[in-house]
Amino acid sequence: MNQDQIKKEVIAALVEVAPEIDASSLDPEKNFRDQYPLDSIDFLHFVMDVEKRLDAKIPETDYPKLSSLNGAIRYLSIFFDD
Amino acid sequence: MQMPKQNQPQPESKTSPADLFWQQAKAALSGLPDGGLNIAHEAVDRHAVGSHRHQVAIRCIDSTDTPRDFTYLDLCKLTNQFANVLQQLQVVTGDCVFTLLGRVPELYITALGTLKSGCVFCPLFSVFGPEPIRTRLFSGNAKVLVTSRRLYENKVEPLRKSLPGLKHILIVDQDVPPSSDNFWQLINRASGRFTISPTKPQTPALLHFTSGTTGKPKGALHVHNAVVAHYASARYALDLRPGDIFWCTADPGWVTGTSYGIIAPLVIGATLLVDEQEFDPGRWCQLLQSYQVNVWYTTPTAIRMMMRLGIDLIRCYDFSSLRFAASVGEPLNAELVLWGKEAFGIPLHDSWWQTETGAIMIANHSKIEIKPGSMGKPLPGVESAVINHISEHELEIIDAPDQVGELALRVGWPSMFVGYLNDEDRYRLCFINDWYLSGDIVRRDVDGYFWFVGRVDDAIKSSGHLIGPYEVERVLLAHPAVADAGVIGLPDPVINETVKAYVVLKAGYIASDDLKHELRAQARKALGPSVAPREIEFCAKLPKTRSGKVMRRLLKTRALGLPEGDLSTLDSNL
Repeated sequence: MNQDQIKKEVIAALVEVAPEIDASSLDPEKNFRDQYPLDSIDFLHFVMDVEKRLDAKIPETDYPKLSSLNGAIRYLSIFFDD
Repeated sequence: MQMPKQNQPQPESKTSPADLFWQQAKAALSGLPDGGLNIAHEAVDRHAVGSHRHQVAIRCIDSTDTPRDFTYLDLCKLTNQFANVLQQLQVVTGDCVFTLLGRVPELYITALGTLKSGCVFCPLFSVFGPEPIRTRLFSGNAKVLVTSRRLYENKVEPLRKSLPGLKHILIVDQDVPPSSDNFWQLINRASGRFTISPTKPQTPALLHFTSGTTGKPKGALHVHNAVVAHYASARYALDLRPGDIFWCTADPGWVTGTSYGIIAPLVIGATLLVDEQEFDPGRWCQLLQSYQVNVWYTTPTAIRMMMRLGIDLIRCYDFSSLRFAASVGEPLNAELVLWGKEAFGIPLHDSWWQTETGAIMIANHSKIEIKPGSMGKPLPGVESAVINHISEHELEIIDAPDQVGELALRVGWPSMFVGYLNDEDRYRLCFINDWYLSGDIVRRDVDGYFWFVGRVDDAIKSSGHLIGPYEVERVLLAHPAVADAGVIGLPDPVINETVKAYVVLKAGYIASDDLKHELRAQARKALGPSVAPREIEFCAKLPKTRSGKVMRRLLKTRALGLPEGDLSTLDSNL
């Protein structure tokens, strides 16, 4: 899976959880929760949706690495490379 | 803010064991020199002149994991400065000061400075959307709001014209938008000396909004005397002692965030750990270890999310400082209590109380053995009963064990709410004779432990918060495609109940995933993520009573595949 595909799925998972998000205004380096009002349950659902879309099991301890768009892409790219 | 008329029944004048418990608690406080009582004096000033003055009162861990300490002496000066700021702004006794903040130092300074000045403090949940914020600022007649620039610009500025009573916005960031003031500039110019307003035990102090099933949220008002119950319940139910490191994880926007997230630990002379960041299970374990937390007060939702980390990982941390852990917000199931013991080395103690009770009333407290899955037993100052309604003015007390009925508390505990703002009728309906009716259905076992069964009304308990379905339905109904809406809570393994909406579309609109997204987006923008529905289902019609009310109970039983029960009020045409 290449980075563009990962990006597309991460954004889709984010918008699924929080449909009010305008993905075009997303700052890719900034924490999602500093940009939008997401609560901790939203974040949990977001990671679970990413897992479902990418058919991956992400360890709980790695969840914080998915807290920004670029962070998620970086983490998942390595995840799939391995 | 005016005191609502005192129309609740008064307890009989005799010294019962319950009275003695509160009298002893009151004796541990110092009171104001003229015989008055002020929460901030008990929480801050009496320690600032005593042996605790150089002790850390609040340790705030900021977004970069850096701790910032405030001693009781520091807190005394800063809260004096804030009280002087209010005076300079001509904010007077009884006026309402609101916060819309996360767990930042300014929250604590505002809360305690407000109480010193004799004004009423009302915290709002910072994840709320503009609609719940507007409703609460308006009905609380907010005169001052302390908030951040980001929250102000996103959520308050567009509402400002509809809130003519809101005279002052104090921004805690350096850059302030037009028509607002810089919190720290005002503080730094103000004197650090202040004589606390001569408040009495019955002077209004705290305003907390809670959700009802119909109409607007209810503003429950508490008085300075509540500090007696804050103190006694934290000592007794949480085993909190002077010098302890205490961590209450509640959001400041909910009543727990004030009663135990600000007041109780300071009154006792503990050190309050404050974490500015959002929930992260791994970080929380690290904080418990690094800051050597002794007493921890959290929620079942947080515990369930920590469980996902796995016991092996959690046990890598050192929790040897942790002496007592308790939970609040929704029932703590037995499995969690036992898991807590395995994970942290100590069991988790469930506790029960409400916005209206102001402090913990029933708990698996420090003096009794835990019964996993139960709410526990009443604190010594609390008289409780399981009751049946006979009529609007009459109740029957059920003495036999294991019978299901509504939980009632005999009036007279110090932190009982004294009214709902501008809604005497609703307040009156909470009482029959000298019993407060909690709205929670329980049973009491043969050993005197209470067990939560459900709610009398349709209120939803999600992530420890009470959500009124009508507030959510109203926002959905504002969408042009929506003809009707019914909102219920469905069981959820992590957050107890998840908010689900059933929506009937107007003719000409077609049900689609895009429309679901649009409705959820609108609801989240207006209400915030914790209140908005996480699931929407379109349906052709909603079950209604003959008088036209949505039968949420029926929606729920149908969703859960349970027997539908008494349908005598169902409109058979629907």
